[in-house]
Amino acid sequence: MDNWLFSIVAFSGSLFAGVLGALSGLGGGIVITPLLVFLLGVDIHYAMGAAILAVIATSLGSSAAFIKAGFTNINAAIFLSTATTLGATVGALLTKEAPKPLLFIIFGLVLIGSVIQSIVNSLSKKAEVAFSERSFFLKLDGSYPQKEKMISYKVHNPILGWFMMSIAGLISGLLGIGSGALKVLAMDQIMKFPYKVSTTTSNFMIGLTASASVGFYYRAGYIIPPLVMPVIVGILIGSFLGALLLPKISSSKLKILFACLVIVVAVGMLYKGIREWP
Amino acid sequence: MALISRFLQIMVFLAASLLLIGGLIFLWEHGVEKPQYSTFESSPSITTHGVALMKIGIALLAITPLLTMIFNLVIFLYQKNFLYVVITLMVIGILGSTLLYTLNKGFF
Repeated sequence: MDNWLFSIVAFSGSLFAGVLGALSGLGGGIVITPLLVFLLGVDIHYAMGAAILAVIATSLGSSAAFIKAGFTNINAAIFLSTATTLGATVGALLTKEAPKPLLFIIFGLVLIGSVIQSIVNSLSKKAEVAFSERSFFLKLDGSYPQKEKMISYKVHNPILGWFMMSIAGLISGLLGIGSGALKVLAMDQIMKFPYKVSTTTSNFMIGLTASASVGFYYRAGYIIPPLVMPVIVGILIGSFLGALLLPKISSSKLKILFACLVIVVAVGMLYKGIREWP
Repeated sequence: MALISRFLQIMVFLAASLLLIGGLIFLWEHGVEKPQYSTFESSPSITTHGVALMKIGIALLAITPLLTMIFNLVIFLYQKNFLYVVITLMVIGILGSTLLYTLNKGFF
């Protein structure tokens, strides 16, 4: 296989991941590393380097629309980013030392966890009404537009949420993913953000978190420009197409399709990790 | 907020364009060679004009979140929201130091 063919396969795979990621709401970044590892035989460290940049690119690209629409809670994103970026720094430092089979196993488990989280999330119909229990000095409470009126909400458990976010950051730095599932979990379940706010705010934080790891990945030699290029271009075009298709396609069947795909990939990662265990 | 949104779009578009142009130059020059990504070596040596362009694209992606935070810092200062000035400075400090750590090695 020469560089041309390699780039075309990596581009097509990333495009596909981008479309499915945008349509399912899971984000395509999480399947980039397994895709490069299994389809193209790329070393997991190089794959993580490409994936972390893909995560930044898709997060920034989609945040542009969400911020403009007024869903993203910037205060909460910045406050919780102190946790995720610290966690990511520690994770990125650890990943150099961690044995590769361990990375595969953790990756597989995180993939399975993400699928379960997204299924549970889509099953539970949350009432999107104002929460009121206690407000506090961090000014995290906010409001978001729905049907031409603003719905305000109050936020719970900021400290517990902060700790959960530092774990999400750690996983992000360790595996080169956005760990959006963990972030949404922390914001939904612990901090009681409305669903639209937690998904869009976590989406914005993913880019911030990932950018904390990039320096370490670059320094460790994980980031290979000719490998990054087809992945970034592919996933950006893919998520753009996905966003265009979204209103025209029923996403529930797609979600199941993508979930099945991610489960298959997760089992593959677990198998590889266990087989190569020293 | 609309300004931040526009800024993000422009940066992503610029970074992707540089990556694409650099990548095509790379493929033009080295397209028929075999990629060596299956085993990890900490410093593979590939240097062409295309790679330099791609590196600029990658650097743009990497610094955009930091720039967004600096942008927010200015907004919070303007609003005299000093609690969030401090919190934003913490995020800028963490992101800035990890990126400086990279520059320390010499980006190119």
